[in-house]
Amino acid sequence: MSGFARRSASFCGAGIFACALSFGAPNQLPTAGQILDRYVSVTGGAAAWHAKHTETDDIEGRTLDGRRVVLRALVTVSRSGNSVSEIQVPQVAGEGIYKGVAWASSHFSGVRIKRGMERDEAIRDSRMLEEADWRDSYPKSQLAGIETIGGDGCYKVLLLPSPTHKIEWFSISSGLLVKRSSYELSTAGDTPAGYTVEEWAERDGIKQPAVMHAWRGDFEYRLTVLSTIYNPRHVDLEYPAEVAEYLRADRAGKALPNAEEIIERHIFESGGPEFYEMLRTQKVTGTLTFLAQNIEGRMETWAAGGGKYYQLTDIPGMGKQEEGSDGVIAWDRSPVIGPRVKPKKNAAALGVTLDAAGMIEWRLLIDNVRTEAEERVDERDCYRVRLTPRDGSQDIIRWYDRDTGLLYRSALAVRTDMGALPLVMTFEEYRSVAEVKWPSRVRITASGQDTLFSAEEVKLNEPVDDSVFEVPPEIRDLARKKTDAESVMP
Amino acid sequence: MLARHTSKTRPIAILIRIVLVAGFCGALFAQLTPAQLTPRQKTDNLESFEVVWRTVRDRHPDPKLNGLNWQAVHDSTRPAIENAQSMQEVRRVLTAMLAKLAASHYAIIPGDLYKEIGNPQTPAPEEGSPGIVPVIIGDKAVVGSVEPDSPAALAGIRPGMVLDSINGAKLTPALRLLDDLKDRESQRIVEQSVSNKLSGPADQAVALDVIDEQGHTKHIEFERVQPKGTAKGKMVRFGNLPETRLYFESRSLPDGAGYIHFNEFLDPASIMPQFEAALKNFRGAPGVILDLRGNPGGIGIMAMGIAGFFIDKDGQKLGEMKMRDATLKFVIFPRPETYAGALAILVDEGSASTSEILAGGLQDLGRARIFGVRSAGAALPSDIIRLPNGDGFQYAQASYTSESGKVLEGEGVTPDVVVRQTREALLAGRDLVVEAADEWIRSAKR
Repeated sequence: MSGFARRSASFCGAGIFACALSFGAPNQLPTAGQILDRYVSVTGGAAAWHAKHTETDDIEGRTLDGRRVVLRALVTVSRSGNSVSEIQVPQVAGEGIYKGVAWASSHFSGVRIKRGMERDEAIRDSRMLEEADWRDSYPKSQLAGIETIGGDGCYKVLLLPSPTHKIEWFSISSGLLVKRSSYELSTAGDTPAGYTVEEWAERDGIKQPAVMHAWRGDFEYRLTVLSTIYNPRHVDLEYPAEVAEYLRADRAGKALPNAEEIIERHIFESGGPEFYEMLRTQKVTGTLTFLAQNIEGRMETWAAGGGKYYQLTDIPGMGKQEEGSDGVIAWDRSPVIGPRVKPKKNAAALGVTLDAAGMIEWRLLIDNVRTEAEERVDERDCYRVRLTPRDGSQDIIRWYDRDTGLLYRSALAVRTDMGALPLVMTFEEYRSVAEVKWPSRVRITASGQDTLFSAEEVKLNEPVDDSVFEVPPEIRDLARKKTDAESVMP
Repeated sequence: MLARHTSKTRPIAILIRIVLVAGFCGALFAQLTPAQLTPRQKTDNLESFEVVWRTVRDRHPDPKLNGLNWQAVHDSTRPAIENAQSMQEVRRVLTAMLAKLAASHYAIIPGDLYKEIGNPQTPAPEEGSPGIVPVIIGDKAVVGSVEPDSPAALAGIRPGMVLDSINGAKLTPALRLLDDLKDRESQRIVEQSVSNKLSGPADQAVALDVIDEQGHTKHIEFERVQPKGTAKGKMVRFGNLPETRLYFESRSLPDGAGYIHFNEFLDPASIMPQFEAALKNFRGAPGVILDLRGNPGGIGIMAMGIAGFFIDKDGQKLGEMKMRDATLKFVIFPRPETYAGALAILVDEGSASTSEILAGGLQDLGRARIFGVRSAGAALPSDIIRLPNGDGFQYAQASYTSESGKVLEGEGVTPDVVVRQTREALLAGRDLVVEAADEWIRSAKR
């Protein structure tokens, strides 16, 4: 299980330490070191651990109902500190440590080199566990008290120093690990993660957690160690060719930053994931100018959680056009087309939805992402990033300002009733609103025509009356008729 | 898709016609006399050539340019631009280069001519109207219709009369240009010109010399009045387009068929509700005649909106517009209530763009029967840019095919029943095209 423990940065984490010391007087609390050394002792003893120089674990994570595999990986760690993980689920990927380089490579975003604190933590977690580890890695560990976990009295040990706040709970009676928690570092930010041990297994004289109830953020799952092999004959812990190639380019100053890091930087610079998580409502009003035609209209949008939005556009010569959704029925209405219930596939194509998950959980929508180039766009140095959506729609190309980190331009094909419409959106200006940077001037280029949206007022997280999102009666009637018609279709 | 056709094609088309007209009227455009080029002009001409060449390369709807080796065209044309001795020669060379594309809507527009058609921002015709809609028949400006109870009607102006002069100015010079420009677009420009001459401040008199059915010239004066609302004509502006008088008319014909006519696809906030109201009135009628004669188009998506009143099945479309980077389907969105009776659409050489998209698409879908004469065949959206040398360059942004795969550009919509209006019929108070459509509706009813 120690191999799995080294995967803590990405999946679960563990810190399983040993102790050969016996405790002192019955009423005297043990030190953190004594607790950790005891753990080594009860799981096989220092000699058994010392006999192992490499360990490979086949691990599987499933939803708590057992129906869906959420994690599958083959993890190999070694006493040398080198490690490699071959991951199949949730994505085909690999990561590891080799000669002090902490790397990750995936179909999703290509090669990424972990740096700074993330690298340090990855290296710390990658060491094969032995009693010496905690003394090297967490020499300032402290006992933080006694707590009851699942009816079992436990010592709570803070592993220090640990920027990821690693805490472990050991059973007072058995000395075994009961629970572990920490923060998982990744490009997506810090996520609380951990597990409680449900079953133990002994292999080659070492006792390790075999089944765990794990969590990552709000997501809970069950983790099972399917097999453990100590000292396998053949193991290659070197980084793969693409990582070697990236490192060569990096040394030559030609490597491009990983696309995930670029996107996450935009999220961070524009307000941070906490802002997007807390975003509940928005109201934006401004002008919409069709530059070639010299037409200026007004646009107002309201949005709230649950897919609710309403947009009113008033263009001289075209009249008022409305578009909205109450989270169930998506609709639009204009003098030209009349009232309409929008097909589900296009429901949010052009609508303004407030979906924080879409911003911070963007990975759910994307199959893979790559940084393609660094190039100059409108006098700005930008990174060009290609995103390939999971739904098979056309790739999205984005340009992120190298200096500010903010998204500058995005080229995408918007799905409309008339077909896929290529658009280029240029975020020409961001304005500080409620301590976040909001795109206040956006140029939209479609079919060679430029339209400029200039926000005049942006209100975030202010109360919005739900009646704004109410579906007009004539649309409701249409939806009802449509449903009735569909229900009698053969 | 917002009004691209309207905002671009119409002024461009006007410019092009004037370009052509200029070829026959040198005296009117003395500034076109060849002049020696300055070094600055030579530089600007070369830059302009490159802009034109690149724009075609990058924006032509067919990225392969129908197999044309465009780079070779560049290399062979550039020396001719470098050696050109006059602006006229530069234009001739560029025009010859564009002719290799064998496509419409590619033209070089002399910069001087912008002055002649005026800046698109120039003041619009004033609000006063005499209540007359002129049409060009042959080489004559004829009164096409007269607004009931208007000063013109009260003064004795009747459809079919020939407009000989307006405020003492003979219309003959402009009409003579039509001898050389026989296409409907040129007629429309002249019609627009005549219409503008008729307009002026309300409550001011306009003097007309008209020729009646006996060939007698009559001098008639009457005051212009404010239009009586949209149904009788309303001034509308859309973006850079000059202000336009928009008409909407609907009435029941004697035998019960409905008749709807509007002169441009503009101001949907006004036109569409009137259209819907008219159809509601015609709910029990055996058929509806939609008169698109002389309608040059406008906001393209209005074709989809109008079609939605007549098609009740989802997923139908009028046709497809192919651009370099996208194909846009002109999808029909059925209205909550659709009209199920017979539909006759009237077209003529003045029916262009959105009119053709609507008529051609509904014809292909078998939903409408088309009456009149072949339409203009000018369905493409185009754009115009000013070149470094001051000239304009018009280029097509897309190709358009109707639902059955027919190319409307250059071909137009061919009526199911060909009927041509005559001055004699107008003088007799008859509209032969409406009569043919009405007869079909009556026979369909039987």
